[in-house]
Amino acid sequence: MGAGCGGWPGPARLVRFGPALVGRVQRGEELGSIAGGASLTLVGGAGLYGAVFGGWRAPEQALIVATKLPLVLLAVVAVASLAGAFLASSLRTGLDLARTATLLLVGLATTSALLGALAPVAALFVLHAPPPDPVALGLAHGDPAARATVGVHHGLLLGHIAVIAVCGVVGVSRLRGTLRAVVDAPSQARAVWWAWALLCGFVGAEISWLARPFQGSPVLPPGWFRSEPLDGNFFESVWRMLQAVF
Amino acid sequence: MSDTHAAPEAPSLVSNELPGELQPLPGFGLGPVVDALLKAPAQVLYEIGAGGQVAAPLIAIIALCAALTGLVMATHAGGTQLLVVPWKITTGMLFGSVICLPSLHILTCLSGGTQTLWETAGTLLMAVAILGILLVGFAPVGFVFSQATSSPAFLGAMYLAFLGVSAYFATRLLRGALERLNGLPMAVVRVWAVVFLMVLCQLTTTLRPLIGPFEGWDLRERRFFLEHWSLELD
Repeated sequence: MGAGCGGWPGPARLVRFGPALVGRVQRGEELGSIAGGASLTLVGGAGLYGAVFGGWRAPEQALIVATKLPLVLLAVVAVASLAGAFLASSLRTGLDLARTATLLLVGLATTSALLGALAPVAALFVLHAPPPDPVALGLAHGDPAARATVGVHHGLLLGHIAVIAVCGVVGVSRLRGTLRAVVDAPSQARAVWWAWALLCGFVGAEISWLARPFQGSPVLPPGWFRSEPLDGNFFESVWRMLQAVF
Repeated sequence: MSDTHAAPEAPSLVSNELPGELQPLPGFGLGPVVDALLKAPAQVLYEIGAGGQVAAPLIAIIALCAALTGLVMATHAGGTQLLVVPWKITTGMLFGSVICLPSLHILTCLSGGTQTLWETAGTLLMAVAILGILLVGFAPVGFVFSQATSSPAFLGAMYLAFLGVSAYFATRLLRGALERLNGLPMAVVRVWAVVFLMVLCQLTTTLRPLIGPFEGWDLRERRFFLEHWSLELD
């Protein structure tokens, strides 16, 4: 589990993020190996949970989501790092682009480690949910013949969303603790944490919206993307749903 | 001028719920290990830190207690269930523990725990063993009700209550053991215990019937445990 001080940290050492790793980030030493360890943890954990996430719909959906979920998280780091570094610099924290990207990666690796650890439990519930009804394929979501299987789909999807949300909150909380240890002034650490959390939430919502579907609806065939993935964005969709409700 | 007043001690968040001294067990037979688990679990924790020798008796205690609990549960239906239910309960408890181990390890590491994966597994074995021992303690009560009650729903609810009470004490022991190992508060164990209980409840649904008569080796219709309970109560 990576008990040593140097090298690529394993999942347990990353989630602990003890004084040795904090010191390396503060000095900017061997950031590549921390980022490498965090990337491996992210790919392993999110990949494992992704396989469970897509596993209910079909085996090919499990493979697709096992690939897609880690890529989504890595894309969030790639897209948010530059703005995150500018914000950190503006808040005079002394964190440059390399350290910003490493810390964001560590935060999402923590989320992924927890997701991977919960994957066997999630798999138990997915494997014991009624399987998708093949009759529903091609029907409309509201079709009475598809209602039962769509209900199971929605129930499982809500469960996955809850698990991912909790793991996300844990990852962001860990990032806050890490920033408090790395940045000297507590007020600056708090400010940059808020900025990064909002930035990653904003970017993450949109990238996961573009990358949908994850679980896969029983009325649609398994696949990588929706037929028109770039039609609208997450926030427009939420706005339209709110307009429909009120 | 010297200050004669001692500074008030800050209240510790680390629970002191693991009785006993950290010293070797008097023996590795089932009797001494059960005795230590009930009276001085710190001795079992010491052996976990010292190596893996205590794992075999702990697993044996879990298997034996689960089989005994299953046997008592099966007395309501009798017949083939007397062989099948002990096997199902034993397998279910061990399987549930294995799939919950990674989340326990990662969550405790997130809380600052520095224990190894083996030490996490060892403390989990201690907790599941005490859960099994307490379930065996409830077995005579279960047997009396099994013979006198015709409602499987009532018996199911009663065994779930036994599981809940036993799980409470198992969680307390697990938290105490992990706090003793790390010298840190491990309140996160309570959160993990909810996951573990949900897994055990789902397994009781997956492996059904546990109380009713034998219906073959095939697993029955896939169902979420809350849905199953709701249907049974209807």
